[in-house]
Amino acid sequence: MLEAGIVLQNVSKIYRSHNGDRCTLEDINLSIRPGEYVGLMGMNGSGKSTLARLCNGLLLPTAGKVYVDGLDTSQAENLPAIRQRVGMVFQNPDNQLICPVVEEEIAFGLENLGLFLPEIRERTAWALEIMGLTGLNYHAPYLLSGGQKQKVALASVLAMKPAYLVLDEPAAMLDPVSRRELLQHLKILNRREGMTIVLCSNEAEDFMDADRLLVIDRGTLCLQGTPPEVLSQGEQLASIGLAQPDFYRLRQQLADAGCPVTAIYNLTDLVDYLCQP
Amino acid sequence: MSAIIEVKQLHYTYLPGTPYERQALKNISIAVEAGDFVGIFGPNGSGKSTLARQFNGLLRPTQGQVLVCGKDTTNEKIRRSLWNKVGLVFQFPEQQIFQTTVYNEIAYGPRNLGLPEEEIRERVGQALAMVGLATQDIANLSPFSLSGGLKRRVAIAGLLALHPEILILDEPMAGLDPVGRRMIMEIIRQRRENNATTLMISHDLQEILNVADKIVILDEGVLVFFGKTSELLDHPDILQSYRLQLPLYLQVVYALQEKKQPVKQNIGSLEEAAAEIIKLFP
Amino acid sequence: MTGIKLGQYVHGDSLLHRLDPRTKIICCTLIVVAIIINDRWYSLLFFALLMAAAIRASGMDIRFVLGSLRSIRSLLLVTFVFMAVLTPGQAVWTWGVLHVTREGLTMGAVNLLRLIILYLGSMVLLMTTSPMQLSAGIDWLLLPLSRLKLPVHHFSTILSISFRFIPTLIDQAVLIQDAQRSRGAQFASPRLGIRLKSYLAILIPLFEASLLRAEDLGEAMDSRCFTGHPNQLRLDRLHFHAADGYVLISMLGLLAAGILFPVLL
Repeated sequence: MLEAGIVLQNVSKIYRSHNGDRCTLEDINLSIRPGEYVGLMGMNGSGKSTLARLCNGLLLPTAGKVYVDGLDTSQAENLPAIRQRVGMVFQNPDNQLICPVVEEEIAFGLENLGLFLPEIRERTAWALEIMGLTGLNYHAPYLLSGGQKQKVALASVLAMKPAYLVLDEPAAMLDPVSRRELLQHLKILNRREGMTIVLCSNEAEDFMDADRLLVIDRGTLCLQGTPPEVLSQGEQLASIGLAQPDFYRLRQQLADAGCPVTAIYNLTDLVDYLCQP
Repeated sequence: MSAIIEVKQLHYTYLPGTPYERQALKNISIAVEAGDFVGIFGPNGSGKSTLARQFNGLLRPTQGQVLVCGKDTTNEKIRRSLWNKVGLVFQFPEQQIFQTTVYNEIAYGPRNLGLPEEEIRERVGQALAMVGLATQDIANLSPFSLSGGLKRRVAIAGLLALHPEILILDEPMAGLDPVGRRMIMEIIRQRRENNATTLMISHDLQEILNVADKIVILDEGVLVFFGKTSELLDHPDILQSYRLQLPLYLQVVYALQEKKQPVKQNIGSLEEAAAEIIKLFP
Repeated sequence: MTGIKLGQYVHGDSLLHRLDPRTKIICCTLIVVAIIINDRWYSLLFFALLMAAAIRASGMDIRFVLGSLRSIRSLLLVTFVFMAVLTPGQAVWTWGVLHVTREGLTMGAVNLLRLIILYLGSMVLLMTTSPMQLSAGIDWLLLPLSRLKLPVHHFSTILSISFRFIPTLIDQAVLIQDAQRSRGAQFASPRLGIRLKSYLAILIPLFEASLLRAEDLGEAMDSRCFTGHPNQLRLDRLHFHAADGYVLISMLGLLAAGILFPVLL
């Protein structure tokens, strides 16, 4: 069992509470290959946050197994290695920053890894640069905007050089400009640094750069494919409470009116096509 | 028509006279008429929320005047009494929930008005209906046990139960999933139908363009635009500076215009845009 | 709602910033001892001036820090009045059964100064020492206790991280207060019952939010390989420099002088 990647085998997660057990995930089989950019789309409460937390052992499955590069998350001694491999970014920027200075925030994880000062300095500089935060070393995170806080959170995870980056609705509390910037960074990390990305969101527009898009509804994976394949299925998405991106809606309307545009996947191509004589 | 909110040359400065002094609003003049649905748009830190706090008396103008229902908010007594005329739904309003039952949570405001209990009961019922929760047996549940989207609707109901003449919503959609957003849109649609004066703040231009009759655009505390939505659509020069935040259909329309295609620019919905684009095909 | 919050670490490069956290913790402890055993107004005044000088030297805005004394003014006032009235001695002013005594006035002034020194001292410590350094310093100083299997590191981590959340909590409290005011909560009501109820409407949501925040923070820390054991590297990085030696010796000297001076007189 030494398959590279994050592998979920027949995973179920049941929460027990006083008014009965609630199944949040049911028999999930999924494997995320190194280098992939995977989107996970679902409504709030669909189970995507639970799934994200299974990937680095914050939660353990009730049944089934989760492996990260062959390491079983249910073995406590594997957790440090797993958490170094799987970096996590959460929704609320205020609640995941631990230190009062950006530089210390980034060093926090590195110190926990037992790295020495020169290495910490080097990685901090690298992480700040890649997130476009150079010069903010000594800033107090609580004085930054939401978008910048989220970038600091991402930088402090990146500095640990994880192979996998799992993000649970990282843009839900951001404004559209910061959201777009964050997505742009993810794309660069995936394409240029070869980082594996698992992005959870309820917003279809966020998945344009993903290689593979999974749709989760009430604890089961119900749709799977490339983003264009999945996002073209407007009716099915609507039936589970999700919205199609505007681009697909516009394209659909044009197609319905007899304009053959279904093989076009972005705005520039659409405009070019419409401008043909 | 007389204005229900009148803002005259308003300036507002945070912490004046300290090292952290910051001018948040600069020379703002707008007038909102009764029954208007006004969208307030601006990037982060543009002063949107500061402006909203002037309307319900939480802040006092540093310079200039704000008249709400004809009354001047520089007067402290008037500021204190504004809360029951102007309902302000804060960003992430579920953060303010504190009562043990949904009923008590919604009744908190009306109780502060000193209303008799039977009227309070009636108002809570109405408010629950307005946020689409009338059919559910929710009133006796603990609000803390609800999902995020439901909590938000309960919090909004808490302000609707005050029967405010003016309702201000600060980023009501933030952090919700599409179903949650649709529910909020439904509340907004009802207010529009009843011609109830409503202001909505958003950092998302799309949301605003979809619902507002009039639009305020703020940028770094300066008023960039104030006027009817259709007038704004006739000003691509203003909209272009927020190009990437425009609804996709407008981006397509502007891109087509740049390529000298004969499409009109005053387009208010995706459907209208599709119909306009189809015309390019003979 | 913007701007630097009082008591929050501000990055800097002053001597005070560069001192070893252990030095600063020990000095603060020495000052506490010094002002407790010493009740002469001139030596207390000296320590107060020393604190003011320390604030200046650390590059903090002294007007801002001194201005913030206003936030503890009721505590200061109550202390002074109680001391003035309750200390037996020669009455200088009588009102009914209450006598303000000369001794009381002196005691009041002395305790007022003590509180101000404590307040300024903790500001200097907190604003020039980052929580991580503070936590490492406490860890090191309490090392003997952790040999006894006491969870010293948990304690120091909790303590130092909670400081980081003060500004976030203040912002949130202000926001919730505004939100409740918009629903008719009366924080300025002349009736105590109504006022208490209104404050409850801030405290409950704040408490709820803090619980959620704690949960989120725990996840974020776990995800970044936090283990709950003292970090040996962080401890190894603590270094006494020559400056630390000088500061410690001068503080000890001051303390000794403070004890001996009254005796010699």
